[in-house]
Amino acid sequence: MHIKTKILILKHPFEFDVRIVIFALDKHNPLYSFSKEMPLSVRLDNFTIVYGKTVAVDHLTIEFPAGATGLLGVNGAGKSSLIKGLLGLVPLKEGSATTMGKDVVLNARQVRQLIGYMPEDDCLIPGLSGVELVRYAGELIGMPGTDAMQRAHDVLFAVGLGEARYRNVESYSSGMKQRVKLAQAIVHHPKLLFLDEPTSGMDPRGRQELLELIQYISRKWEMSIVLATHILADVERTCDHVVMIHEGHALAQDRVNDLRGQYSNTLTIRVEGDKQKFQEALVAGGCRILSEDRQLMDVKLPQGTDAELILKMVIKTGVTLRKLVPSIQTLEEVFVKRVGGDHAGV
Amino acid sequence: MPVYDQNYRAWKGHLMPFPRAWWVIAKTHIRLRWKRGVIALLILAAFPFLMRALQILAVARMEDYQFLQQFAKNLEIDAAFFKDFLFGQSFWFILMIILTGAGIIANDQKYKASQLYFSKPVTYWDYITGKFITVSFYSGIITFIPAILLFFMQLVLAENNTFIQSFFWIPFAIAGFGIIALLVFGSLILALSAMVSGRSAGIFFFALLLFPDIIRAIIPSVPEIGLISVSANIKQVGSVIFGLPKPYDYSTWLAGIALLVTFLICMGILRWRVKPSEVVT
Repeated sequence: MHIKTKILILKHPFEFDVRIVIFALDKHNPLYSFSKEMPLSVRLDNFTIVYGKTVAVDHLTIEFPAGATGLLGVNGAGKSSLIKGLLGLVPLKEGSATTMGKDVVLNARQVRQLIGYMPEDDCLIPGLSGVELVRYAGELIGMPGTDAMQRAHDVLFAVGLGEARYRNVESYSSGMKQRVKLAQAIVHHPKLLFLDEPTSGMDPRGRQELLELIQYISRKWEMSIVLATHILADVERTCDHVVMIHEGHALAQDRVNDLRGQYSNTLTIRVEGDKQKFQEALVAGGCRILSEDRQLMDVKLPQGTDAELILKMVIKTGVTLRKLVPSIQTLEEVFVKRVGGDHAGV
Repeated sequence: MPVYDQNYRAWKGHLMPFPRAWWVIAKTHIRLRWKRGVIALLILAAFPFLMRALQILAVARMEDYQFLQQFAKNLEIDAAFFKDFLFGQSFWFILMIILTGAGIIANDQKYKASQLYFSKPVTYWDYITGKFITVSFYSGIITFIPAILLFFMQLVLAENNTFIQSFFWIPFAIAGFGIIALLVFGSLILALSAMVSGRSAGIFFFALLLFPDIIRAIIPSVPEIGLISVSANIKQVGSVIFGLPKPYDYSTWLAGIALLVTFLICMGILRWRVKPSEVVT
């Protein structure tokens, strides 16, 4: 059972508005099924962003629980637009969103104070040193000057730029630029952190170090993280939850392990012969055909069975078995399966 | 313990509910622009001020020093003195505006730094005001601030109350003229900086001031052509503010309206170009 809030805004003739918050118990909203034990950090309802004639985010209804959540999608899937919409950087065409319980449109400035944002682009101010940039970010958020300066030193050490903090940011390498962007995002120790392609342009070692740091921030410093990336391995490594989006639509949202688990005990099979008869036998035997194309089919086996069941069906129906392999092992394969299966040709 | 956790402590302070982001932007950019070029320009622009200060001193002390009388007897400290000082500083003023303002938004757009501002509780007006104050600070420091200083210097050195009784309104005229000039030229450089690269903004700014004056010089028979010149309109309005005859033969009201239209167009361009995020479709 969850509490749902609605805000009614009544315009007063003297230009101030009266907001009436209506609390209602909402038992059946399917939105709330995702997070069972963790408080939600971000919730989107019918969230739509349109650029001209291009629909970047299409009536998305998803939620990000507390903890580390990967926002996964190919380039152009709508990940960055979604984050920018949550920050109020791009206007919403339709729908609503709340971040840590605050409406992102009604309380835009408050929301921006609560969260940290590491943008995908360079977003650096030439002429400023690392420590000046981070201090600047802190002061813009609303930190007192002295606190911002102190914190700038602390977070730059924390992200591994302690030695380079007095160098001008334009002289930084790609990896250092990513780190300083992360530092400016966490300068005020936000409860929620949006990271947009944080490992973009980094060498493998730097990438590994940054992912370790992100994981550490999420687990030890108790910051919820939304990690937008197209690199599935990054999500697998750092996140507990994943939201997959493709062409502005949500493909899946679940715990990383649960999502992979949906495809456990699933086999990819290729047979020659009477395919129709073989499929009928599979279904009769309790198997579920998840997807199929001209040659291959993904088959989910019933609980407590294994590949031997398939072999029995092969013998029974007289088809020739050409391929029998476990279907899904990584998140990448889940993603490819979802994109190819549910949204192929969209 | 990992290296990134050794010095880290969660910040427990309080954020200001309404941070004065415009002030943070202004003070950071004023500091950022304190470079050799700007310092050199400040020094060069200080010479006319020193000459004028010397003039005030000469006029005030000419009875003490016989040799000064030769130079100072025809020099009078009046409204024209301050207007001439300000108009004379226009070259340095324009150079300073280009030097401090040409890249002020263009660099943010080049490095896509707008997201850095607007992902924080910074409003559009905070951003524009902060940038405008930066340009105004350096431009004002070589024009309107020295003009006010000259006024007070004359006030201190004057032998009687005649000057203050006659010209008490001069500081207001300087401030009024300063506000108009800064709003028009400041918004113009910001608009150009928002549209093109920093280098191009400087060139376009210079061209926008130069070409209308050339056209005005080519067609002297039509005085109203001066309405297309921002600098002519500023001089026209400025002369009236200082209670002096207008330099060009067209309506001061029209000049004022032309300046207002220029300012509004620039603000419109800024509103159009300064976006929190670049949209790629």
